[in-house]
Amino acid sequence: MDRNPQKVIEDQLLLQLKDVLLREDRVALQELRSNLEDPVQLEQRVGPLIEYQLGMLRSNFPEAYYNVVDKMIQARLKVSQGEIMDTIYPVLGKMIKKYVQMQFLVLREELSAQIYLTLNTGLIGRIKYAVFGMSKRDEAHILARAKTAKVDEVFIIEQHSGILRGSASRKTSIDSDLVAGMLTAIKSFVEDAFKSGNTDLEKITYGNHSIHVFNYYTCYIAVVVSGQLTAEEEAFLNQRTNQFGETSLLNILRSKSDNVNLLLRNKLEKVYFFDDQEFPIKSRNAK
Amino acid sequence: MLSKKIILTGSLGVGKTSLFNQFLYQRFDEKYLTTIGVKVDKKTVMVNGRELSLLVWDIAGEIKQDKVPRTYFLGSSALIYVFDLTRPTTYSNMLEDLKYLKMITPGVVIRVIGNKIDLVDLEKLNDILDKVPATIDFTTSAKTGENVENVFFSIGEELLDNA
Ligand SMILES: Nc1nc2c(ncn2[C@@H]2O[C@H](COP(=O)(O)OP(=O)(O)O)[C@@H](O)[C@H]2O)c(=O)[nH]1
Ligand SMILES: [Mg+2]
Repeated sequence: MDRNPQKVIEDQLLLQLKDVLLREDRVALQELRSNLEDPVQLEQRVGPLIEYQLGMLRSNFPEAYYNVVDKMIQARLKVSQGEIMDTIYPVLGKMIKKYVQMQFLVLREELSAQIYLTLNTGLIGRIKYAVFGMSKRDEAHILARAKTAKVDEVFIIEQHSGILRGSASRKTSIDSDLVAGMLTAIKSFVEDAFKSGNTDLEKITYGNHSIHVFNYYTCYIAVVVSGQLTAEEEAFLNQRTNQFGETSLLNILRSKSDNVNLLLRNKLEKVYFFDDQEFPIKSRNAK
Repeated sequence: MLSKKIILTGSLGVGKTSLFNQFLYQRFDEKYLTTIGVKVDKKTVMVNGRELSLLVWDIAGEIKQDKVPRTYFLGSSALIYVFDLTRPTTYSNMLEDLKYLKMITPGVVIRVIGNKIDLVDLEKLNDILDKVPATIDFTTSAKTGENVENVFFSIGEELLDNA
């Protein structure tokens, strides 16, 4: 702090000057303060102002805020794609979401296949192989490729009651009626326990097997697959199943035939077991 | 062959699972019942020369019916409501339960079963039956097997008549 006597005097003069100059303002300030502290008075004075501002905001919103909101949305889109996907999802329908997911998967697989090829063929690959032999990862990759996924069984099951309407199977498993019943029970349980909108159970995976569930109004199709499906194969399975589900299936179920069971089996065999061997789901075969 | 879904329901401990096991082959492990709350089994019955396939769902007991997941009831053709003749708490909610069940599964065949008849003296039976608020269709014993087949048979008969 400055102890200079000259400066102290100056400061005092300055204070007096301020006092003289600001006296009027002080009175006004006092008034203002009392206004502020009295809620009734405050309300009376501020209320109309807020109303007015709100009105302005309402009528001028687009012009005044368009840019800001636009920027906010863009920023938000960047950080929370998943969240937005969830919000849009019920509106656009799950088919679109599925399609988008599938496209991402296909893309990813193509990319990793590309990277794998680049890393393992050509000079680098050959040197790696010559020096280290085949790595565990390479082995796993090749094995996974070699083991083609295939459809083992297909069930057409009535929604809710779990009654089996038809099935085709490449191997004899336990009683298909029971499988259909238990599958429906599990499906009911899952859909009931995690109910959120119209979410249906779509896939169950266990070990190297998966059950793909396709829902229609009165029935659902359960496709049991062994082996790992590539995204491309899964897309193909979905496409093929939906094609069948939306045409032949409905026709057969609507027909008053006594042999719905048999008709369905024949059709299912054609749709899923089109290859003599172990009806693999290779899109190449059908293209 | 015609197939129908039947649901066993009623309070905890009344003997649903025992009745189920008495009537069916038990092809799934008991753990299914505790983990997902339901177990399904099948039996083919011959009713007046016609075959009918019954898919019976045993659901884990709850005190009140509206606690059971609603989806389990959907698509069923018949419903067996079981209570324990020796425990009044298992039939005190009966009217309310039946009303609820009829509402969520309109048009289904319903059988009301008083189980554990083997534990009840014949003199006491009439007193009990007086106290039960609804009409009883069968008294059964899952222990001795008394009347168990008849319950399913009578359901099969009515379902074939309606079919
Ligand atoms: N004495 C006798 N005991 C029974 C009968 N039915 C079931 N129990 C017994 O009652 C208990 C509960 O049976 P359970 O079938 O698990 O009932 P749930 O909860 O309705 O499935 C078990 O200890 C059974 O052994 C019956 O008819 N007579
Ligand atoms: Mg039980």
